[in-house]
Amino acid sequence: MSTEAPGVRTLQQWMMRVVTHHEGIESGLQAAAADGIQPAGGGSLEDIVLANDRQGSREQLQIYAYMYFARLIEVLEGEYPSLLFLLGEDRFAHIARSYLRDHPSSHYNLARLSAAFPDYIASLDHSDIDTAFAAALARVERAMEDILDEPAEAPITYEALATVPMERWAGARLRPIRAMRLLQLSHPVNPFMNALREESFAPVPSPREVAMCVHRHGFQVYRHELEIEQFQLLSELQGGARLGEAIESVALIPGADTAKLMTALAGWFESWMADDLFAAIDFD
Amino acid sequence: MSNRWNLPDLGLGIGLRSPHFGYVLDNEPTVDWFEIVSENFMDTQGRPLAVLDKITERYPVVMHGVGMSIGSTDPVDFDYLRRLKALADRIDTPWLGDHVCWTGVAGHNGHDLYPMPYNEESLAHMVERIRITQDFLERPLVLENPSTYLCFGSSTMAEEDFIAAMAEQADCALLLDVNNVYVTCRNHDLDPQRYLSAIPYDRVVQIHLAGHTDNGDHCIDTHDDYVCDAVWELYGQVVRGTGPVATLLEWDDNIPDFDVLLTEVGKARRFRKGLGGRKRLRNPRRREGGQRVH
Repeated sequence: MSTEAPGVRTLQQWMMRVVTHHEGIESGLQAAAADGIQPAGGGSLEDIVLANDRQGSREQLQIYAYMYFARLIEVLEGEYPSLLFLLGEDRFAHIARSYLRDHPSSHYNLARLSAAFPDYIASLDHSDIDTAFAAALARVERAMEDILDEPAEAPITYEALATVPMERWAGARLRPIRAMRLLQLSHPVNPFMNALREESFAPVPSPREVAMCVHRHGFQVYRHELEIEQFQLLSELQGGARLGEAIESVALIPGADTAKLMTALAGWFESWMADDLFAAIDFD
Repeated sequence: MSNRWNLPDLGLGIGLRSPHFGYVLDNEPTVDWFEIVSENFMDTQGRPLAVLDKITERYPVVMHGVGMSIGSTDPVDFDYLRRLKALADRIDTPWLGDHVCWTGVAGHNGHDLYPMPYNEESLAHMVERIRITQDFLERPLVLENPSTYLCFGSSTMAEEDFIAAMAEQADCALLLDVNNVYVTCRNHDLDPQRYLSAIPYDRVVQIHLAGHTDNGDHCIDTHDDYVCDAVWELYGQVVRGTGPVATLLEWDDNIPDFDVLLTEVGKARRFRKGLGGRKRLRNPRRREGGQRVH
């Protein structure tokens, strides 16, 4: 449902174009003119925005333009502290401005603003930035943000597991909590992120494919590196596979040592149970 | 109770912000009520909502949003309103607030409180949107006067007259942000006495207090400092006219310890002292009808 207010609409479109242009309000004014967005009665800028004794039309518009980028870049900085540290404030702000140009916010929820930021970072072509590492950091930090808003779920208990007859385990579906993300990354990120958290410094690591689990325990967020077999198993369970199917898929990983796998399984599940990673166990 | 809706005077409240979650839960400080930014709790099922559920067991909590974009010319966002209403039902908010503004257009959200042009076209537009929204939410909207940093040439009436006419025609309630009155009047060389004289006090169900940044040639509503003396003076004037009205302190940047907020909002007590529960009158200084700015 939309009300008819064409004069208001044109004025709003004009102002939005002007104050959100990533190259500033002069470029915004030119863009609005080029697109034929001309508020009624606005022969000149001073007709649209009235100057006063202290501030001209441009200065008044500039307040909103400044706040637009300051506010949204601050949101991104808050969500990607490791990436901010890696890039430095100026470079981060420059990239964030470009991102906002290409991905303007369309939702009232600011938490959605940077959903595409990790992919955007990965697409950058900067010779002086290790974009693959930067994108890896961004993906982990995005996952850490995402799971904050997932529901708190009561974990399944050892007592509940103990009631499951042995013969039903292969067909059981262990559902991980929703506040868990599994990631495959080009670089190990934990040493860098941990050092930053301790106000220390770690160098950019050499590329090495790693798997990670980012999850919430209570309302605390944790990130662990996983062995590839652990990653495969949790991915299958997250996708809804039965436990037997999930274990079989791990055994099919090239080079998998089945005997070692069977020995390790109990320890893995014990650790995951301690982390409250499972919310339900279902049977067909 | 002396407003049109018999909405209660909740006393002195504080804007609930995440740095104080732990303190409030652990200490249950003596504060009459809290206000939340609605959007910070609408799309999460994580810690903020869990904290909110606990706090609503102990305190009245009012929802005050920044994302309704009631003045936008985009279609009404019913998905937003559904989520807003669900949260309102969940915490049983005494009322729902937002701002006389727009936050985006053509699908682009600027996440700012952009000013409306104040003219007949925008008034009719706003009134229709408020009616639609109030019908959907099944409760009166409480709309706040914004801080503004520019004046549109297409405005034909003063902001305060626009707001008074809007409230009358849409039959909505008002949140009078005294700091915003001060900031807007400073920025546009307006007389705060004239501004306040236009406000229909019997529609004011809540008052906001906050600090701002004075940049010399303009002020910004930054909510990062103590309430200035001039705003306290205006507040005293307002409550003498309105009678006791739910009053809230906002502090959103450089957030201090909770005790500092308690002390600051406590200053409002001396202005409310002696007001008792007397019935408020229509703003005696209020003139009816709009007035052209230029």
